[in-house]
Amino acid sequence: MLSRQKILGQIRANKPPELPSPIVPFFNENEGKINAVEKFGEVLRFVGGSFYELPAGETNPNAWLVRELKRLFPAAKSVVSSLSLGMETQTITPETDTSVLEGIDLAVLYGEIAVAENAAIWLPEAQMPHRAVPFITQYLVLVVKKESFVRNMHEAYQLIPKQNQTYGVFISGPSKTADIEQSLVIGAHGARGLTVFVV
Amino acid sequence: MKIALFVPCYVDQFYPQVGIATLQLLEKLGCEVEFPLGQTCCGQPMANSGCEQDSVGTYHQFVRTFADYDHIVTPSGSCAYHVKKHFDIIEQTPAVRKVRENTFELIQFITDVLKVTHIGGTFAHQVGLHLSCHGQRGLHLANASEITPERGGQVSQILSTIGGLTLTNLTRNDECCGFGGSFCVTEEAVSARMGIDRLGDHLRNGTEILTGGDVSCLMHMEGIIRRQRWPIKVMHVAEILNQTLQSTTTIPKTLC
Amino acid sequence: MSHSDLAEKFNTDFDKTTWHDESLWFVRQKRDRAVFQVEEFQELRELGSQIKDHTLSKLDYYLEQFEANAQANGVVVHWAADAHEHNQIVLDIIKKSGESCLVKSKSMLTEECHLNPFLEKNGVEVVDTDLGERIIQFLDQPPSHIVMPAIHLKKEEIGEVFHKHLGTAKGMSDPQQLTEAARQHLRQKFMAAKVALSGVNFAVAETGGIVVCTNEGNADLGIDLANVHIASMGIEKVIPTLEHLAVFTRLLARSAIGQPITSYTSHFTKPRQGTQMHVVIVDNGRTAQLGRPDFRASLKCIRCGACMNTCPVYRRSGGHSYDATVPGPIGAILSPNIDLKKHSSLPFASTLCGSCSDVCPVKIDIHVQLYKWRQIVSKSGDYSASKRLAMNVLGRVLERPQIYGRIGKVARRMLQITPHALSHAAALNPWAKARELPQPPAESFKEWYGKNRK
Ligand code: SF4
Repeated sequence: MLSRQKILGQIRANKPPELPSPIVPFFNENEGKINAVEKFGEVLRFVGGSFYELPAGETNPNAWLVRELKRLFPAAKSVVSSLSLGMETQTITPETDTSVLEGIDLAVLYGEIAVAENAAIWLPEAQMPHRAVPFITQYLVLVVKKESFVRNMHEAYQLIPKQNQTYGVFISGPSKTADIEQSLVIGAHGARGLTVFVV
Repeated sequence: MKIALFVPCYVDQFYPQVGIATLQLLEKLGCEVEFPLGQTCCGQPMANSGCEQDSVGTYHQFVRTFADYDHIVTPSGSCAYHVKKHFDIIEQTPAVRKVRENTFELIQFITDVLKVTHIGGTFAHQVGLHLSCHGQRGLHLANASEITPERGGQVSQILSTIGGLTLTNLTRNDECCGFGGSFCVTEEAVSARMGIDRLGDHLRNGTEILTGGDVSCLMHMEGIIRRQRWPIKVMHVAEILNQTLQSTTTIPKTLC
Repeated sequence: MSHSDLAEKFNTDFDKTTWHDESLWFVRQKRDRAVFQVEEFQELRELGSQIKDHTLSKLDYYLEQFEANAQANGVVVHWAADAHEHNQIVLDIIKKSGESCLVKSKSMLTEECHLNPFLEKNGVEVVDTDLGERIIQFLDQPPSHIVMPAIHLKKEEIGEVFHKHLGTAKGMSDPQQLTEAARQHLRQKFMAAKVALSGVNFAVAETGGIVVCTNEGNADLGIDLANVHIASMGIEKVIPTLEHLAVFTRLLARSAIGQPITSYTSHFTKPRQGTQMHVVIVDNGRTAQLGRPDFRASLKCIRCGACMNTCPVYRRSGGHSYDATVPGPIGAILSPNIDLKKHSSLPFASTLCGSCSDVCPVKIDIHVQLYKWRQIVSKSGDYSASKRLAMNVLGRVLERPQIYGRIGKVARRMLQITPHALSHAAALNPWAKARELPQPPAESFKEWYGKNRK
């Protein structure tokens, strides 16, 4: 506690006179001009993810999803999902042991907000069976509703409640690294692949 | 309009032709130019080495020499920048303020004050323009590649009005050449390497004549060119403009 | 050793210098492409700068607000006046947990505090989990870049390290395969570790939460599997609100690596049920920097590394030539505040070209601060006395036109009659190692003018 007083005291002694806090605009003059879903898909591909939109005329999104998941991840044995897909899934809770988490092949989760400018999807703890799931799974699938798209981070943060946050993450593409000679490698520690479905 | 020519110390001693070209160019543009004899230097050598206090006397000498003129023009972006930016450590008397406001790099003076943007004539060479950092970033004579992908700027604009002249399209448009004042000796290895790389860009992209608005950068690169015996000739931009501008153009007498 | 000595050594390998320069220039170009796609990027820089200025001017207020909200969230907040206190706090938390292994994601602050050697001395195994950090940890080297810690190493060198430490095949140097080997190796560490430490990119006062940005996902994996999370932050990491956070999430990854955002932007606000979260708020010289009006703005840094990638000197001298926790232009203005004597050469390791200031996402006037540090170094005892004297004499000559005129003439004449071998002797004249001196003309401009105009 001594250090606390010392640090705060020194700040008070050394800080400059108060400077104004700027107003942060939403930068949405281009509203209407940008198709947020389209832009999102474009950026997602750039950051190494893949992107599927519910085909026009498809009336049963759930069935389409399951079909696509089976097609794209035929080898996935341990599947975790927070959606009721009607597929065989594994039950994971915050108490689940690490050794079980380690075996997850595929996690299918709901993303609450999708940001067009950077292909980031907001995934709060409420959508995670266990905090580690989106990272420890070999492949991650995020399902986003068409209504959940926003243009930029300013709009996104406006939708995130300031109260009662526990843990949440914006995920943009799969885990990656360029730490070896600047060459991009997908699948560093987290998910090796990110697939986004828009329903 | 009373115009004074400021020829920086090392230009005076080693590159008199640049001073001569600057004077003749301004005269051809219709200006009456004086060269006050009390001038020495802007004080940058000491200040950039961290010895700002030792340059105070030089600052005062500069102000004494030039306070009576409406404009002070110099073929060195770096010196002009130094006067404008760093003469803030001496008392800001009206004379000091006046001198700081009215010191101009040559091309900036020609385009912004004389409002001459077209030189014309011919110069049938491929010219590589070195954007000196102090001019480019300090005096905003050209866009910075960090801020916008648009290249361009006042010097390339004015050079592009000359017939037969092609400007080199550099891979890295505004990379520093590595001169950096005292840096060129204290950090000799990096300085030389930067110069070699800067010239490599020019060589690969076909520069025959290297030009720029700052003699210091050119002196550094010329030193490397001569050591390496590379086929590039070095000319200050004033020399090119003075060579292509044949006669007195019609600058309204009210200006000069 | 001074920066110039280390830089000279670096430059003895011409081709590796070329490679290093080009690797970093490549990142700078990626940054340019990402930045130019955002129309309002320059406005965002200005906002980022103003938000940081504002926050610094009320830093005590926002830190207290952050603390109160974090505590309400069940987070334990610690304060450390210096590196030692920080390290001790971290050690105590680990000891109390009964564990002896720590998984750690990237934190420049813990580098600054030399946490790893301290913990190791006290019997804690530290595993850096960022791939680049793990590589240099194997080599027992400091990071050479704040975002890409192993940027100075070639893939063959990394292959060699992995062969030795992870048993990969000899000669294997494919980045994909090397990364996979590290993934397998580090997954085991993640599974076993019960204590995780992370840095903090932003601490949001209004929520009491911290934000960590990574591409690899190593911070989350470590923290989400552990029972204790320790987050170390400098006092300058706090920002007021989520609206402000939006600005920085737009600036950071674009400036750092040319990505629109990092793969993971993680908001840790409350500890997971049944686990602990600690935040250690560290001063270690920052309040002193806050009290220096000329250098205060260096505290605005969001550690994107763009000033390193753009710096023509950094690119050609390597991060280790700065011999400081934070290398490059920003390191050259931060380090003298910490140890002026040790880092006195850093403000001179620049041509003052200003590219760093133009690239900086929070508009720190880096090159102006370098110039100002020079003025301070020259007055300290760490400046060469002969140079000091030379500048003094030069100053006196240049304020006296008559003396200057006479000396100039003599110097020019001397150069004319001195044999080339002498005037260009590298030992006497560093200029001449790689460059010719200008050819002295017969007369100075002043002399010409006297004959031709008056
Ligand atoms: S000083 Fe600016 S450019 Fe350099 S790391 Fe910090 S924020 Fe990035």
